[in-house]
Amino acid sequence: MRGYLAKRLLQAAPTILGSILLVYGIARALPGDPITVMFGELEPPPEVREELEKHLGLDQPFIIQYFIYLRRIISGDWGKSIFTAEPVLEFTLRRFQATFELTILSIAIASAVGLAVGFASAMRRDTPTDKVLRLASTAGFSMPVFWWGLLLILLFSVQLGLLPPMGRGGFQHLVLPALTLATFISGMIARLTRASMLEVLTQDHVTTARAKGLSETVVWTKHVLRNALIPIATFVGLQFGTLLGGAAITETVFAYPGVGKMVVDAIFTRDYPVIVGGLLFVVIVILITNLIVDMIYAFIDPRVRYERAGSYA
Amino acid sequence: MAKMLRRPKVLVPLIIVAIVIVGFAAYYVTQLAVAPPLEELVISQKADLTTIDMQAATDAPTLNVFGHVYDTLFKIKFDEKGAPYFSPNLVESYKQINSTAWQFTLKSGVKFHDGTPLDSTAVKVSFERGPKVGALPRTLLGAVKAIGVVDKQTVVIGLKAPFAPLIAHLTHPSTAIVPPKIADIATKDFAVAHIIGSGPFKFLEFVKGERTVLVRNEEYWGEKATVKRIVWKPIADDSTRVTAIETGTVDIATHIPSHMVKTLKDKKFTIVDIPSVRTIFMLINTEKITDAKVRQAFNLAVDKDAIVSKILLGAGSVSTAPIAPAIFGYSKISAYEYSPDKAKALLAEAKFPADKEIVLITPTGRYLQDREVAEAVASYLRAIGLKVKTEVLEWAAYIPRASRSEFDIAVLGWGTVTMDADYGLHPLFHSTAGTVNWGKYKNTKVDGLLDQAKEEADTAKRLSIYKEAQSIIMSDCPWIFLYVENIIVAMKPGLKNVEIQPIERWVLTYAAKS
Repeated sequence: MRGYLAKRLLQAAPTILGSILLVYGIARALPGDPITVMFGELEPPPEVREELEKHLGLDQPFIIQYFIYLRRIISGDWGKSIFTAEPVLEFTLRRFQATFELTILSIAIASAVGLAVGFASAMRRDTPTDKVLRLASTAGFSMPVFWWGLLLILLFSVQLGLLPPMGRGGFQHLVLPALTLATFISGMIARLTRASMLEVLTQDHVTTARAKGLSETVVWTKHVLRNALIPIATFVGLQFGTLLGGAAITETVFAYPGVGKMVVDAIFTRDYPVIVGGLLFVVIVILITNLIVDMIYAFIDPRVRYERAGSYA
Repeated sequence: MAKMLRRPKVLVPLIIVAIVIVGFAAYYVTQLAVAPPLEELVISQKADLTTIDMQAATDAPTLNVFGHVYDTLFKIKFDEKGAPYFSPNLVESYKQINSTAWQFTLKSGVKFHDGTPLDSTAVKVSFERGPKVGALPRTLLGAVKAIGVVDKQTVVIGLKAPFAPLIAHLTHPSTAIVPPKIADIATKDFAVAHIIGSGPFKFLEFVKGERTVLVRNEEYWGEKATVKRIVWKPIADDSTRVTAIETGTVDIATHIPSHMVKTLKDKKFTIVDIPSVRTIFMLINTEKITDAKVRQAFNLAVDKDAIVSKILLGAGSVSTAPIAPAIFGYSKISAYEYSPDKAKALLAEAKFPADKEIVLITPTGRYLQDREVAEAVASYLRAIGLKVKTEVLEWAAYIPRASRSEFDIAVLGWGTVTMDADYGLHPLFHSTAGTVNWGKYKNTKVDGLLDQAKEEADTAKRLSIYKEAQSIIMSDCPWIFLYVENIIVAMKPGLKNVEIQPIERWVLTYAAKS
C-alpha cells in the first residue's frame, strides 16, 4: 500500500505542473487583461498602462511569468487577488469550505435517494413501479440545473417561505442548492444502481445463495447489493471530487460563495492569480479524491487487493 | 342627553377615554415625524466591490458603497421637481479668485473615522493620490494643475485652464477626501484598515462574494444616520436578486429587469423607476462608414420607440440628444424618425455597397438587455438590405476590440455622472482629447465648441454653445442614437427616505420605516 501511495503521489506531480501550465496559458490567451477590466471605458494613458503591467508582472514574456509563478507556488506564495489584494490561498480556502459543506450534503442526499430508487427499481424490475422510477431518475439528470434551482426557490422560498433563496449561513442555506445538485446526481446513481444490481443477479454466487435456501432479503442485501455497490462507490467518489471543484451554475443561482463561482468571476475579471490558484487547488483536491477513491475501491473489492499481491484466493 | 353627560359616572370615563385617544393620536403623530432608527438595512446590487481602494474604483456598485464612507467637497442634490443643484458638503464657503484659481474654506471640526482632522492637507493628498491610482480621479481632476494649502481650513485649487464644470466634478465620489496617512499606500497594498473616511458610515467588513458591512459613525460631523448598519450583498443573477427581495432576504434590490416589475408591484413592493443619466448608443466607426448619409440611414432604419417599448418594456426614453435630459447642457434636438424608405433612399444616394458586411459588436450583461437591443438593431439594418454580422463578447474581451476601433458598429453606454455636459460630450466627441471617441469622429467645429464651453463661465453662453455642438453631432450621426436607460430599484413596503438618484447613486443614510 505504501508503495502504491508513493507511486500515485509521484504521478501527481507532472499532472499538477502540466495543469498549471495549461491553465496559466489559457488564462493569458484570453482577450483582455485585468487592466482593461480595472479601467473599463477609461483606458489609461500608455505610460500608466506600462507601469501597471510592470507592477503586475505582465510585461515579462509568458514563459518567464510561468516560472516566476511556479517558484512562488512551490514556496507557498499563491499570490494575491489583483482587485482586492486578498491572498489567493486564504480566499480559496474560505470558498472551498463553503463548497465542501455543499458537496457533503449533496452527495449524502444523492446517495441515499439514488440507492433507494435504484434498489427499488431493480427489485421491481419491469413492473410499472420500475418504469416510474426509471422515468424519475432520467428526469433527474436531464433537467437543466439552472431551471430546477429556480423552481425550487420559487416553491420553497417564495411560495412557502420555508427556506432562504440565497447566500450562505446556517444549514437552511445549504438545503436548496444541495437538493438542486443532488437531483442531478441521484438520477445517475439510481440508474447505475439498477444496472449494477441486475448484472450481479445473473452471477453464479447469487444462484448458489438461492440454492442454499437463503431468503430473498438476505440474497438481495448481502449478496446482490454488496457486490453491486463497487462501481457505485467509485462513481460517487468521482462525483464527490467533481463537486469539490465547484458547481458554478448552482452557486450563481443561489449566490452561494463557493469555489466554482470564485473561479468564474475571476475569469470574467481576468484576475490571473485567482484563476490559476483556484483551479490549481481544484486539481489538487480532485487528485487527492481520486486517490482516496482508488484506495477505498481496493479495500472493498478483494480482487483488486489479491491482484496486487499477485495471487488469487 | 346633556343632563346624562353631566353625571360623574358617565363624564369621568368619557374624559378618560378622550385623554387616551388624544394621547395615542399625539404619539402616532410624533412617530410620523421622528423616524425610528433602523437596526439593519440589507441591499443587493448586481455586482460586488471590485476594489477596496475607493480612489481606484471605476464602477457604480463600488462607488455606491464608498459614497457612504467618504465625503466629497460638494454634493449633488435634487429639488422637488428633480432638478439637480450642487450643495457645499465639506466646504463652508468658496470663491473663484480668478479664471484659473478657486479658494475653498473647509468646515471646521470634521474628523476622519480614526479621529484625525479633515483639513486642507487631506484635500491636497486626496487630489494628488487619486489621479495616480485611479482612472476616474485622473479624468475628473485632469484640469487641476496644483493644490495649495493656505492654512488648516483653506485650500486653493489652481487649474491648467479655465474649467467651468469644476464644482460638478467635485461632487463625484472619486474626488472624495482620504486621510493623509494613506498617501503612499499603493492599491496593491490597500487593506480594510486603510478604509478611513469621514462619512456617516464606517467600513466594518468585506467578504468577497458574500457581503460588505458598514456601521453608523456615531461621531459623524453632520446629521447622524438613521440606519445603524448597512449590509451590501452582491447577487449577480437577476432572478435570484428579485427572489431575494420577494422573500425578505434583502430590503432593497437594484437593477430590477423591466419584465419583473409588474410581479413586484402586484406584491406591493415599492418600485422606483426613473430616467438615469446613462445614454445607450451605438458607435459608428466613421473611418469605415465615412459618409454621414449612410450613418443617417442607420438611424432612420431603427425603430427606437419599438425597442424601448417592446424590449425594455418602457424602461427608457428615446434619445433626442447625445446626453440625457437631466444633464446641464442638454438641448432637445430631435430623435430620428423611423423611416426604412428614407433610409434606403439615403443608402442609394450614397451608393453604399449592399454586399459590404457590417460588423456589429456588443457586450453581454453590461447594460440592460444590451444583447437583445443589439440583435434588434441588426435586424432593422438587415431589413433595409444591409449585411450585418453580430458578435457578442464578454466585457473583458469587448473593451480591447472597441477601444482599438475594431468594429463597424459598437454598443456602448455612458453615464454623465457629474450632471454636466462637458463629461457627457468631451470624452466621446472631441477628436483629439476624446478618450472614448472610439468611433474616430472628427469635426473641428465641434472640437472648438467643446473646448470653448469647457472654459466659459457664463451659464447662458455655455448652454448656447452646447446646443450648437449637439445639433452638429446629431446631424453628423457618429452614433446610432438609441435611448436613455431607466434605473429600476425595488424596496420593501414601508421603507422610506431612500434616495435613488439618476446618477446611479443610492443614498441610504436616512432610510427609515414608516
